[in-house]
This record gives sequence, C-alpha cells and structure tokens, in this order.
Amino acid sequence: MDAPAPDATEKGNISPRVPALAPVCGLLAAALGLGALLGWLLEIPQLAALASGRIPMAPSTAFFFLCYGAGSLFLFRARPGRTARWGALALGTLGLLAVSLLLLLSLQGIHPVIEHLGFSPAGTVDGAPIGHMSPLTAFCFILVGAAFLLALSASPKHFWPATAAFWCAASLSLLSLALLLAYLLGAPLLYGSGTIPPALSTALAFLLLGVSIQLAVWSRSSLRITRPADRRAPYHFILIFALLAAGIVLTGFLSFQKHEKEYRFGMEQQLSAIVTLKAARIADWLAERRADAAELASNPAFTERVDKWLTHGMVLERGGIAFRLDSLRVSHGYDGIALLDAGNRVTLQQGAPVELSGQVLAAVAQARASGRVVDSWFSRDKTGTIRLLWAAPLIPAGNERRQPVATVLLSARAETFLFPFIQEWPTASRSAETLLVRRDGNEVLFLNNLRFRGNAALNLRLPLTKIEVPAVQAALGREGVVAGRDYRGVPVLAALKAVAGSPWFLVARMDTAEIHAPLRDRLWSMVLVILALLIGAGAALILQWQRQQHELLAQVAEKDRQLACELEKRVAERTAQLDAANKELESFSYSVSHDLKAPLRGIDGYSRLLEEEYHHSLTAEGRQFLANIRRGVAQMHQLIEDLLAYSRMERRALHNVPVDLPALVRAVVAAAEAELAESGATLRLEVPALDLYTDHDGLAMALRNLLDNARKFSRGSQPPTIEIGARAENGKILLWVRDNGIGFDQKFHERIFDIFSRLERAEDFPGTGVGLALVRKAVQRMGGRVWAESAPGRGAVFYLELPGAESLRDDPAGERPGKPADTSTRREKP
Amino acid sequence: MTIAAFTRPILLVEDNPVDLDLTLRAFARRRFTNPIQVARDGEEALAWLPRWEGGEPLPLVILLDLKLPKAHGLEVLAQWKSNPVSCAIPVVVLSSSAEDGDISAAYRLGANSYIVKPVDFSKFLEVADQLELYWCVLNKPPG
Repeated sequence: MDAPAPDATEKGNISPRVPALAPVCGLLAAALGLGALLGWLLEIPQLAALASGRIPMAPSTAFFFLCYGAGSLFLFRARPGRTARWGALALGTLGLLAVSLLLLLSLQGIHPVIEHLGFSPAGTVDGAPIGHMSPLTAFCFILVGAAFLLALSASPKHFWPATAAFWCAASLSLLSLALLLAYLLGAPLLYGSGTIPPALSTALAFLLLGVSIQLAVWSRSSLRITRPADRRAPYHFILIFALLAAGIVLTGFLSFQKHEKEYRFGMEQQLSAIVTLKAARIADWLAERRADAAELASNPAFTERVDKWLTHGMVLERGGIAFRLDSLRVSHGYDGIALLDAGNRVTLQQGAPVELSGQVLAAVAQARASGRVVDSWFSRDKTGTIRLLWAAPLIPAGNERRQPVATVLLSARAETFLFPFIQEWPTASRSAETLLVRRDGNEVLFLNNLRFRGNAALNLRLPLTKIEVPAVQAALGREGVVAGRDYRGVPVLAALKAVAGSPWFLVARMDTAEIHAPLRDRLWSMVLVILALLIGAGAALILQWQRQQHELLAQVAEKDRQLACELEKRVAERTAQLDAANKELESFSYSVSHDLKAPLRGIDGYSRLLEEEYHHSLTAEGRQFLANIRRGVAQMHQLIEDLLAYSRMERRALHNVPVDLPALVRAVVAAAEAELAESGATLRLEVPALDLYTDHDGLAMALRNLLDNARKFSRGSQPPTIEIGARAENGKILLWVRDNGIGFDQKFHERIFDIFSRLERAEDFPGTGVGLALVRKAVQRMGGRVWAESAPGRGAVFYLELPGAESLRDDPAGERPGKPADTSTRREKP
Repeated sequence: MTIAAFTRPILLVEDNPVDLDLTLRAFARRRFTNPIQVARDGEEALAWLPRWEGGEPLPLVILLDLKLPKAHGLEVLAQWKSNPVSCAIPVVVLSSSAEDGDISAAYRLGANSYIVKPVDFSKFLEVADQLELYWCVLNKPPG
C-alpha cells in the first residue's frame, strides 16, 4: 500500500496491541466449530444452529472450522518453524481440494453422507436438507484456504501474496457480514430457495476467521503505514467507523422492519379479504341451494301434484313433476334430483342417481320429522364422488298431521362449484390455498381436497390439540389472521373465517416463505446497499486516515527538515563563533609574541648595554641587580614562549596519519640524545610494532615532553633510568614513560597537568610547568587520555592511552592510505 | 660592483623606537660601512618605491618588521615583491613572531629570509653580525 513502516514489521515481530485480537478470533471460530460438533454429538441442535428454527451448522462445516481455526494460529507465529509451515501448507491445500469437491457436488445437488461425519442429522429446514455444507459456505472455505496459502507464501521480497491474502480475507468478512446482517434483519438469505443456506453460527465463524486472517496478514506484512508514534490514530477512525456502521445497520434494520410490517399488513389484508369474500360467496351459494329446496317444499301446487301422483295414483302428474325437477336440476347445476316417497323409495330420478346412504336417510328422516329443509353436507358415495344434499319434505296443504307425502333430494357435486371455487385464488401464488374445515368431535376434518396432499377431502383429520395449525384454530372458532404451521408443518400465515349458515370454517393460507419472497428480494438489495454504504464509509475513512497520515508524515518531515536546517545554522553559527574565537586567540598570541616580547628585548638590551658600557660606574651589587633583571627577562621570555606553545597546540589542526610507533619513539629519543647523555640516564625501549593512526606531530610532542620530564626528575637518582614502553590493550594503544626519579604524591595528580603549575621549586628543577599541560592538551585532542602513577621517592609512570588503529579503520577510504609493507625495512637505528 | 655593494644602503623598517635604537647600536658595533635608511611605518616604507623607480640606488638588503602601523609588514612585502623594480631586492623579515602562519605567509610573498628577533641582546648582536656578514659581504646582490 505504502512505504514499509520502519519498525519491527520487517522482522516479523507482532506488534503487541492489534493482533492480540487475531489469535482470539481464530480460536473463537474454532470454538464455534467445536460447539457445533458437540451439539451433534450430544444431540443439542441449538449448539449447531445458535437460533431456533434456523439451519444448524453441518458437521463437515464444523470440522473445517475446527481445522482452519486451529491452523490460523500458525499464521500468528512470528517465525513459524519448518514443521508448522508444512503443516499449515498441507492443511491449506487439502482443505482447498476437499472444499472444492464439496462445492462441485453441492452445486450438482449431490449431498454425500460422509459430510455427516458419523452423526445422523435428519430433516429439512425450509426444504433444505440439514447436515450438509451450503455451496456458499464451501465458497467461503475456498476463500479461507486461498488466504491461508497466500499468507504462508508471503515474504518480505514477495509482497503481493500478502496483499492478495488480505483481500481474500476481506471478501470473506464482507460476505459473512452480509449473511449475519440478513440473520439480524430477520430474513436470512437462501432460506426456502432450494439451495442450502449457511447457518448463523457459520456466518459468525467466517466473520471471526476473516477478521483474524486480516489482522494476522496486516501485522506480519508491511501493509500498514502506521509509525509507532501514530498507533493511536487509527483507533479514532475505527471508532468513527463503528458508529457509522452501527448507524447504517440500524437505519437499514428499522427501515426493513417498517417495510416488512407494512408488507405483512398488506398480505394479511389480502388474505382477510379473500377469506371474507369466499366465505360470503359460499354462504350465499348454500343459502341459494337451501332456498331452492325451500321453494320446492313451500310450493303448494308442486306438493299437490306430487300428492296427486303418489297418494292418488294420478300417473299423469309424473311427467309434469319430472319436468319441473329436471329444469331445476339443469338451471341450478344439480347433478341429480330424486323424489322419495313416504317409504323413502326413489320414485323419480333425474340426472345422476342419488345414493341413499345412512347419512342421507338420516337427513331425509330429519327433514320429514321437522318439515323443514335439511342439509346433509358432504357425503361420499361409493364411486368416491363428494356431494352435498338437501332434503326438502313435501307437505300437502291441509294435511293436519303435517305428514310429508314425499321428500325431494337435491344433490350437488362438490367438484362442480364448491371445490373449484374454494381452490381458486385471485393471484398467482405458489403456495396459497383455501381450506374448508369442520369440527368433528375432538378433531378437525378437512372437507376439500388440498393442494399439497392428495385425497384429503373428508379423509384428513387433525386433533384439536394441534393448536399451531390454523385450521384447528379456525375450528375452535377463532377468526382473523394467525401465523402457524399448516398440515405439512410449514410456517404459514392464514386468515380464518366461519362460513355463515354452516358448520364450516374457511382458512385462506399462504406459506410464510412465499410471503417473504419479495421481502427477501428487498432484503438482498437492502443488504447490498448497507454493504456498499459500509464499504464506502470505510474507504472514505481509510482515505481520510491515509491523507492524515501523509500530512502527519509530511509535517514530521518538514519538522525534521526545519530541525536539520536549524541545526545546520547553529553549527554554522558555532563554527563562526569558533572561528572568531580562534582568530581572537591568534591575534592574542600574535600580540603576545610581538608586543610582550618587544619591551623585554628593550629591558634586556639596555641592561646589557648598561652592564657593558657603564661597567666601571657600577658596584658589584649593581652588576648583580642587572644580572637579576636579565634573569627575570629570560624567565619572562620562557613563560611567553611556553604560553604561545600551549596556545599553538590548542589551535593547530590535527593531521592523522599512519604512525610507525617504534620509529617515532626512536626519533624522539634521538632528538633528546644530547640531554640524555648529559644526564647520564639509562634508557630502555620496549616498543613493539603497533598499528597506530594518529596525529604524528602531536604524539611526538607529547612523548618529547614526557621524556624531558622523566629526564629532569630522575636526574638525582643513581643511576637515572628511563623506560619507554607500549602495548595494545582492548583495541587501544597504551604508551608509558617510566622513571626512577623523585616521584610525587598522588594527591597532586590533577595539579601536575595544569598549565604553569609546579610541585618543585624552580631552583631545584627548572621549568615553567607547561610541559605536562601541553601533553594533556595534545592527548585530549587526539582522543586519548593521560594519567600518572607515582609515590614520593618511588619514581613515576606516565601513561598515554590512544585509540587503536582498529577503531579508526572505519574512516572514509582514502583518508588512510595502506601502511606500506616495507616500513619496517626502512626503520633505522637512531 | 664590490665598491657599489659597500656603498649601497640598507633599509631598516622598524616602528618600535627601542628595537630601532638597539638594532642601530648593534649595527654600529659591527662598524657597518653601508648607510642605513630607516622607515618608521608601513607607509613610509612604501614611499620608497617611487624613489627607487626614480633612480635612487636600490638597498642592498631590507630588514622588515611585520607588525607595523599604517600598513602591515606583509602588505608592504607584497607590494615590493610585485613591483618589477623592487622585486629583486632581498628582504629579510626580522620579527618577534615565531608563528607558523607569519613565517609561511612571508615566504609565500617572496621574503628571502625570516629571522625571529631574539629577546636576549647578546643573541641579537649575533644576529646583526651574521646579517652583515651574509648580506653585505657574502651575498651577491642583483645589479
């Protein structure tokens, strides 16, 4: 994405805060799988489904979650071992193959039993067999496997697999988020569609796995650009994103709920309208049929003609009666009309013969006894034809005992009008139907044929205890819209209505799945919109964050630049100050050498002239005074010279060159040979060939002064002995000058290196006290140090410690030419 | 030539009256035969240039102090050595300064010799002696 962060990511270390969540997520996904397996084992499907009425996680799915969840832990190892890497690789590859196979089989509609892993899940949820992996789940697992393999093959050199793995995991997260959203909105995806839907726990586990892989890849790769100092920044954005996401999801949820409520209300209204209209129409039809019968029964002329024919044997009446009945039959759609005499014998038969079953005869008897029209409702004859019959008693006028002379039986086939009418539905629907039921004792009896079960009419009975069935509720007298499960056990929405003037109840029902189908379509679009909004918000926030990061980096860079500028300026200022100070010092020493020396020369010159030219005018004492004046001048001159030497040492530039230490020591000794000879000192040199890279003149000066010092203070010893030695020690060079002179008390150690500080009287040991100060100054400038070990009367050792050649080898090339190999051969004896 | 050399002057550029007096005394002791011309500051020293160009005899040697009022000795030296008439005159820098910077600057500008003025008068006498011997007797000046 951006420039790799300079922190520990390259080394594969996991930053302590963010990815702590990653293994937890992976383990939680594995735990969901384990829970589902336990649920199957202990036969608690809730553990595998996490929601009632929803599909449970298949054992095969659970198994894969267990594997991948545990395997994801490999991804969080900073440096996975060889075994761990191969294990994860094998897991990724085998998993990918197995899941791809399952996906292919599932898309072909083949659900292998091996997926049950020995458990015995049975049944379906909304038509989908449980215990099998959804194709969508299989696809998600392919994403997981791909992300696994890609993440494993990522390395600091090959960066793209990490990016690809990240986006695989991101797609997985989005997909599972969509599934979860659908569950949250109450209309989970793929239910009732014929394809096995992923379980709620599956969606949750995928989300966890996706987040876990994303975090792991993110933390191991250089995808992020956060600098350690800016770690806090993304959390603001995560918070803002969480709030935005919650707002978006809540808004979507509420709007969907509202829409669902309205839609459901509309469907309920529709069902109610249908059931009410149908009930009214059936009631009307029944009333018409009863009215037909009643009209016959209450027609005195017709009754009289029947009476004449049957009682009085006027056979001629038969034709008129037959005509009358047949015209009624034809005009009102009866399939048969029969005229029964007082002995319940069929005397006249028009249309299809009416079977005189017990139920019919009972109705006839009841009609005759009551003198009113009696419905025999549904009856099934031997051929299986279902009929409705009405018995109308014919009572002649003037018959005091109201004894019917005959009974007319009107018979209507249910298939002719009633059943088609009941089954007819005003809109095209896959599942909607109307049921006509009647209470029969402790059971509810289905009167019409059913859409989803053959030969149900007058055969299907359900106990009244099955209260969740809308038909049962209707038989119990309930009206209005109810939700429940129908005779198939499928969730339905039903409108109930009693049919007026009958013991019948009408149930108009539709599958909830069908009612929800348009809702589901809307849900898909809603989920898509929500996801798009979430992605948009996330992308906007990430862009904003990156811009902020870039600005921050730019600010930091600008600040760095300013600091560098300021530093440069300050260095320049300081250099200028130093230059000025150096100039001042230079002009000071110039003045010292010129202006202080000129008067001295005058004093010396004129005292000398006085001494020479007025020799005779002076007493011995006067001459002594002049000598003292001249000694003072000489001393003053020496002090000025030493002061100048000291200031020169401070100002002179260092010229670091390869130094042949033994040669240098020999040169110094050679220069002091005369003094050494004069003092009679014995000199011992123990200087091995050492590699040294330092300021040659500075070191020579320091050695000269130390040698001078040793010679001066060992003068009184018998015999004076001076030793110069050197050795390499811890990458440094140690040089020492040892004498057997008077030594000094260690408590004066610091003072002896101060300029013009002396421990001995000038009469005993001449000198201004600048030598050791010069040595310290020179050694300090060469990056070394000087110290001394001594005791009064026990001699003294002065040590010089200088950086060895090793520590200076890193100097820019060219500064230091290679030491010529023939140096040793050129060494000469001093 | 030799006669001319004995009569040609020595130019002494010195501002300090004590040094001037001591130098003159030192030369007097050695019984110099050459006339000694004196310039007391840088400007006076430079004022000799037009006179030499006008035909006055060139000095046998110039003894030049560095720390001079009005114009610095090195500046004077630079002007002389860049002039075609005076560039051939030997110049001996006689200064109290033993600073490396001064010495190298003087030689860079064309000084023929650099002598640190000793504080000790007896050494100063020696220096005068040597100067006379070398520049007035041994050295062959340009015509």
